[in-house]
Amino acid sequence: MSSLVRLILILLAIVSIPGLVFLCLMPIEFFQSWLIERASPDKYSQFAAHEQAFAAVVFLRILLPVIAILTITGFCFYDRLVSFLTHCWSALSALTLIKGKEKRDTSRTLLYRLLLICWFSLGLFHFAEGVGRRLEDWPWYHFHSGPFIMPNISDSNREVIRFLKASTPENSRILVLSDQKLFFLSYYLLPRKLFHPLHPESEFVLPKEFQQRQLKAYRLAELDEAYLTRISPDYILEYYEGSDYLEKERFKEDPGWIQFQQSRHGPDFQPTYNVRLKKVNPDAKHARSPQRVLPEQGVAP
Amino acid sequence: MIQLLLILLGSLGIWGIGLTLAQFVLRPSSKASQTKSVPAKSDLAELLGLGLVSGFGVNALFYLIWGIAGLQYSRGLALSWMSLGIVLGAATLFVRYRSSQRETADALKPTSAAERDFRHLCLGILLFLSVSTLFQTLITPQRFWDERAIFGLKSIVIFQEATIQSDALLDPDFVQYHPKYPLLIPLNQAHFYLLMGEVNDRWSKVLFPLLYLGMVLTFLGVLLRSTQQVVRSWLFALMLATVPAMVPWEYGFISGQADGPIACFHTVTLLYLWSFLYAKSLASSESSVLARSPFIAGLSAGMTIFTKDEGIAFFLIDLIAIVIVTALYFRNQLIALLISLLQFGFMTVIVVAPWFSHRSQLPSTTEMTYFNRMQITTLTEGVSALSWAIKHLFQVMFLEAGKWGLQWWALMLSLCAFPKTAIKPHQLFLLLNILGALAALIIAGMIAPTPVQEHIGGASLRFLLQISGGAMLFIAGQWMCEQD
Repeated sequence: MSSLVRLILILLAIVSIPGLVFLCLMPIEFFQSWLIERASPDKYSQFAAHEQAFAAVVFLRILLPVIAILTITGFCFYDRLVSFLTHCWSALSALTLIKGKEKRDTSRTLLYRLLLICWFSLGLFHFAEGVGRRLEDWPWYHFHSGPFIMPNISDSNREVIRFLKASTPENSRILVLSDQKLFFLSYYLLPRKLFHPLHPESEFVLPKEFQQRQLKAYRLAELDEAYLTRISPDYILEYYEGSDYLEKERFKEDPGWIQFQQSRHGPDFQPTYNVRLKKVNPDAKHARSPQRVLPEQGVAP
Repeated sequence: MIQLLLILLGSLGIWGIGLTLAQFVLRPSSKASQTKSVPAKSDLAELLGLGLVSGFGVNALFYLIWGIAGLQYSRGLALSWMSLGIVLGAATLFVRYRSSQRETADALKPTSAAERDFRHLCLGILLFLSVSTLFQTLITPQRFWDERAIFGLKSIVIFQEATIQSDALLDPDFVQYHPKYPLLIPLNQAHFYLLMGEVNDRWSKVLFPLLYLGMVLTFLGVLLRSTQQVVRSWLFALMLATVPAMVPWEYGFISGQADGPIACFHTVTLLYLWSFLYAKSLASSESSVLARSPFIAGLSAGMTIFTKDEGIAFFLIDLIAIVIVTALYFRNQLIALLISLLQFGFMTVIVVAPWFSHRSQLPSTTEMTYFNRMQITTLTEGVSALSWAIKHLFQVMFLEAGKWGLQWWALMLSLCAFPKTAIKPHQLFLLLNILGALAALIIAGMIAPTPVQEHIGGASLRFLLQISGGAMLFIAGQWMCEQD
């Protein structure tokens, strides 16, 4: 055990101390350039490589000193370390020894030990994979909260959320007619409240990315006055992306949406799906009364 | 930094509340104190683990009852509750420390230097894993479907409206998934938002790795108390802590999904029912173990139901399994067993009663209503899904073990290695429980209003995660009980 421990400590020292010196002497840009050269040429991969190199270097600059300190401590308290590991090994050997009525049960002992070796090897592999996954995620997540980065949603959902945040006051009630599942819009738009009359045929249908599955939806004209009165929205949003509901001739109907997108993507922006936001007559919006004026379809705010 | 400090203090407060409850339910009976009966004495790990697990349950129940009473939530309330928890927790640990100093003989301490060192090694690995899980959880925001559409959304509304009686949550067309889903996770997250005074869906995830730690510590503590095998208990606790489907799989304890918490509460329920049956089968078992285990299992089963609707199925399966075991092994103690079962059921009902009273007024949009759909015609229509579901489960459990963990292989090997142990009451209970849970998943796939490939295909991994703790307990029971 003693020579094995010494060998492991020497290996750890060889890896950690020169590695640490190398990591501290070389600028982060060196590692970023190295990784960027090996990444795909598209801008997302380049960005990811740049950020992942940063995260990996910072991670290693923390990990290697810890390993180095532990290794040095191991050399300083070498006898105690050997004694500690010898004890652990003997305890492990004893506990994995399965005894029958009279003697050692060899087959069960082997089975037990094999199971433990496989189990903890797999655990180690998954732990390393988990750390790798966090480094992969870093470019997008950093230490930001969800509403800042809006992860795992479609680009169009993200655009609509930004548009609504810019165009509607907080605490407003927004009635949405859409062929989308709007849970993430609802989540990121709080404290704005989104109301969505769910078509019965879509209630249990799971959406697929890029509109591969068309969900049934209501159009504004299909809603009756009583329903609109009950919801009493401050705004009505029509948002359709699926082919069954797209109206190409109405892509540019809402000037607010077009202006917002042009301000973000330039004057050549061409919409590819329907977004129309209309403000409900503010004089009567809270009245829940018959006098409340609803917008006519096709009228821009 | 202040937010992190508040999260830390908030977590300590919740732990403190839970510690007080755990100390109360784990205290040895006066008779046991006099006789110093070994099986009755709980380990510190059990107290800390159960304290952590029950802390989150009690915290959510407190906010639920406060909300049902029509009272508003506020930052002052959250800070007061946190302070009370810290004071109670510190007092509980002090009392525990004093009482442990008075005890002259501690039978649970390792008997040799080798065992002591091995225990230190395991403790070090467990701490490292817990810190790593906490860190991995906090550097990822909430990003999956359920954690945002169901739980996260509700927690933000509850925080912003300062009530659970929000008009939005009661409206069938307000955009949220599963309006009737339980509130244990949203209320705990709302507690952290109240403490911080703002929404940060990264910090509020702190409860998930803490429940992971609580589950592993409780597992360790119950095994230590029940079997008195220090080294093996630590080893199996480490095995539970390294099930890949729990950590570091993204949908496990490092995400804000409910599957990690439900795995935690369900495992704790099984632990105490297992401990109860194990004690029952030992002639020398101490009566306080028999008295308190169904009580704690009932509390935990209630919290499982309060976390996710699967908890209802788990509760029914627990009842059925324990009734079968009772009928097979304890027919001569039927009355005593029935009283314990009633205690278990009664505690569960007590915990979930406020939730079900509130739930009745919530809208049923997007609810699958499984129990209403359990009719012969629906089941007959779903028979075609049966073969696909079984094949799929077989593949995920055994052929994809490299991805999700060896727990199902280990369960089968353990079963084959010690077939006689597997039919002892406590082990048979776990086997029936796991089989019942798998059957429930398949039936849910047959009757759900969605294609089985999407329903079972999308949920099976997370469901298997929920019952992996039970599988791990079975494995531990096979290898440990054989050595008694």
